[in-house]
Amino acid sequence: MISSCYYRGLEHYMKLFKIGSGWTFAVMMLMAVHVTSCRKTAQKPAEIKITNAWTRPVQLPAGVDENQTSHMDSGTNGVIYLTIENDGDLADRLLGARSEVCQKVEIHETVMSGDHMSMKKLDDEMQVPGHGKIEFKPRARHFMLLGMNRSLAVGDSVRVLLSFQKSGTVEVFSRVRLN
Amino acid sequence: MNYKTSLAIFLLLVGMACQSDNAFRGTELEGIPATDFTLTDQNGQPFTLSQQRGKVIVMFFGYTYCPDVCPATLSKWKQVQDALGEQASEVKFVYITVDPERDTVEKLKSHLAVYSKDFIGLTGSKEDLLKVYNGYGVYREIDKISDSATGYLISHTSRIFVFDREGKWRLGITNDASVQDIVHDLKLLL
Repeated sequence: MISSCYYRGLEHYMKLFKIGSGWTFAVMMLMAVHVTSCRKTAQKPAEIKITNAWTRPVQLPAGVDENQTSHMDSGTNGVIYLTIENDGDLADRLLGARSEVCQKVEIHETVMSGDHMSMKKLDDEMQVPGHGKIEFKPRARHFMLLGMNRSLAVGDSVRVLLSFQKSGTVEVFSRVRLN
Repeated sequence: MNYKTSLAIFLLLVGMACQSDNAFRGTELEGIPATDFTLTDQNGQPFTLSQQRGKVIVMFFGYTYCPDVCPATLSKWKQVQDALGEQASEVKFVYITVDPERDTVEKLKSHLAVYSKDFIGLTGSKEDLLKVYNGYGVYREIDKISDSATGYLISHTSRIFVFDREGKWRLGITNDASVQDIVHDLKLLL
């Protein structure tokens, strides 16, 4: 992109000044300015990267048939922690998350106020700024897995699909561990 | 600074270091008698606090529906238990539900088993639990969430309560205390 811009810039300035080789230095200076401005306008699209994904173990109560819970609420929840990084210049937008291991995924935030702990639900959608990151971590913002339909043991992996406005669906494998 | 002054400062610092190592890192209480209660454990058996004399009790109020701070506390307890080694048999870890509607004994059993078979999960009638909450100044409030599949969540006290072998309420430990600090305080009581 920059090289074609560079060529167009060269042509443009050569015609503008009707110049020969004696003007080479001045043309080079003008081109340097032009290339710099080209670089500024050619922004890198959003480039989503997921890191630090992990989840806590979950055990469904005895008597809850794991094969029968896909269409009912088991009353057991899980959590996913991860970091969304955007290496692009342009922002992207998280539209939602889903996983086969649960009925629904919501974004929640733990709020500590002195000795009191509470949780609040956040919007499913979230802006990821260019060269920015959003952390989902313990005692803070996290993905809540509602209505687990299977138990998760330490060492298992959980597949999560994150949907982004520009980057599409991003597949994440989150490892189950105690902490 | 002469030799005597240097020596005095050195001994003072050593003294302070020794003293701090013997001081609790959690908030120390004056050893007030614990409010007694009887609730039902995850095996359906009665659990009476006053019958646990001789053991150090570590107690937390939480609920299994919570995916974040409550399991994080259990995970921390597991690390504390491991760090205590053989002394862990002298400590009982007790988890009391703030959500008796959803936390059945079966639910408590499966939830705690993930972390340790030795952890004790307690539930009971709303009336019995309310007496326990009031006895320890536990804050508990139901937060209805209309746009969430959770239905409701519960705001609650996150402090960890510690009782000594004589059944006296000795410490309040903040939920974000490190494993090392909790182990340190429990060893002072063992």
